Amino acid sequence: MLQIIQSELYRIRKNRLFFLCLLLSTFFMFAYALGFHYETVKTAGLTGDIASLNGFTEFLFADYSLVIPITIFQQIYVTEDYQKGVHEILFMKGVSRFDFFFGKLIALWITTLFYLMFSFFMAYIFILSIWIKQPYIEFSLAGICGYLILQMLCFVGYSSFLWLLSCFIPYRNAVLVVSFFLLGTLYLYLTKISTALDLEYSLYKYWIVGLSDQMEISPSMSQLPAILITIAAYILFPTGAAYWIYQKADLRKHERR
Amino acid sequence: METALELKNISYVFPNRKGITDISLQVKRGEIYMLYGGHNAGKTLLLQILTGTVLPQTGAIKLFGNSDYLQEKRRVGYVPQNPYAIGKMSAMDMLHYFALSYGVLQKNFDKELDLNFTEKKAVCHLPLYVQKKINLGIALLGKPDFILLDDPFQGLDTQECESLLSIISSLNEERNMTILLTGQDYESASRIVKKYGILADGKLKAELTPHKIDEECKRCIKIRTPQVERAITVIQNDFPQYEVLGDDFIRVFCPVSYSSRINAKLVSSGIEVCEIGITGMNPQTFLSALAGGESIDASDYSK
Repeated sequence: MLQIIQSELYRIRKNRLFFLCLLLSTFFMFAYALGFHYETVKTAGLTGDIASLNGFTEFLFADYSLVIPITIFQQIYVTEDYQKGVHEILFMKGVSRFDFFFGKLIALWITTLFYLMFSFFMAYIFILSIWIKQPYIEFSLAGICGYLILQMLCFVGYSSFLWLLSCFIPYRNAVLVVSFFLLGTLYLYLTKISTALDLEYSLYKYWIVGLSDQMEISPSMSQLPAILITIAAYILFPTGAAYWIYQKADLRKHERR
Repeated sequence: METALELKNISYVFPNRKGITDISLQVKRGEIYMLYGGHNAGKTLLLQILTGTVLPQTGAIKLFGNSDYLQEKRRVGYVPQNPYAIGKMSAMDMLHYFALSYGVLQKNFDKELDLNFTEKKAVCHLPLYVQKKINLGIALLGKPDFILLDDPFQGLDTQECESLLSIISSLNEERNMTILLTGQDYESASRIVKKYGILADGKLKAELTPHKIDEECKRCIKIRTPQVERAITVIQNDFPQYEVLGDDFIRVFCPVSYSSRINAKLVSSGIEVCEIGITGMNPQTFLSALAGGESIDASDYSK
């Protein structure tokens, strides 16, 4: 499996789309930094806000800007194997389905983590450059680190969910449409239902992207178990279900389209 | 000679009743074997069974004497019919990717395949012939003993076929590789292939050696007469190359334009001639007819 992880990471390193996604996310981070500065510090006279890295860190996940590039990359990257018939060539040489499945998934998790760390790095570079003359910047290192770790776990869970979708629907265009359809509709309906039912813990937070979207730097201790269970469920169940599907799939049907 | 591959009663039938049934054949070590057949004959399906992509419904496969043939997979290289390329990867990148996946370090066949690995162009933008060679290079990773080539000459011009033939031939001779290829291009393959398996409608119709094909395709005059012995005495002086097949059938190997002369001679000697005609054909036509299930003139051509 280590060989597959290595080779997949090599392949991702050679993938132009991945670098395009990093570029896109860099642009988003720049836009976030400017937007946050404008909304808080620049209008401080009106609202009384101060330069807060905690606030900026939460702001990074306020919409789907970090989610969209990784969704596009992962679904295109995974379905490429079906299109090109890569499975057949690898299995021919004795690579097992188990090794290929988990090797590729782990490589995708590593890539997702790298993508997030790169985006965070760019975001902090941009915001700190803008705030270079600020006399005081509020931040809580432990809070930010804990929050970013939870966010990274959320994205690993989301990556597993996308992997499951691509096993269900191994066709590039179809899986991309379904992924974005889910992002749109789940936000719309889960928030509406939660509001209508006046739920204390929104249903939207049971959707991994929603959890990432609505998470706060200092979650109340009562919410922490629910958050951790949701993340664990999104990492474990889609991975198990996807493996079950993948093991039984007749790959010949999907290849060379 | 040691057997590289042995198939016994292999069957895989799809719900629409297409597939392969009861295929048994043997490929000897160091042999170049061609599975000859038309579209939907079952060639690719048979290769997919050998690659492990599809498991046979019935039958047994032995690879290098091992009945658990999947254990011997590392000794086999596979080149699919349509070349594959990964994204915009260059030849070197693709080779490196597969070498990492297989855990293989040696890639010393660039001269053998006449490949330029410094080419930065994406594999998908290279000519078909180069793509096929790169795919062959990937199949050669890990020094396999057995290469499966699915329709290697499809889409190539004469010069490219020549070049690919010499590569396959040198792999066979210098590395003692066993090669199983599929296709319909007899003209190209005939220069290297040592045995043919004719597939039609998912069944192995015949197994032929090049010598046997040459024999079968010899142009000759066939004569059907109930008086075979008398007929021989009449024609043997003028036409000494003949063959008696059965009680009433003679084949005379001579210029086919002599058929009327032979007929006149037999009739004038009072020999009853039931049938006289020209037989034998071009090997490609012969194999196509055999693989296509068409009725070919001489029924004794089949296995």
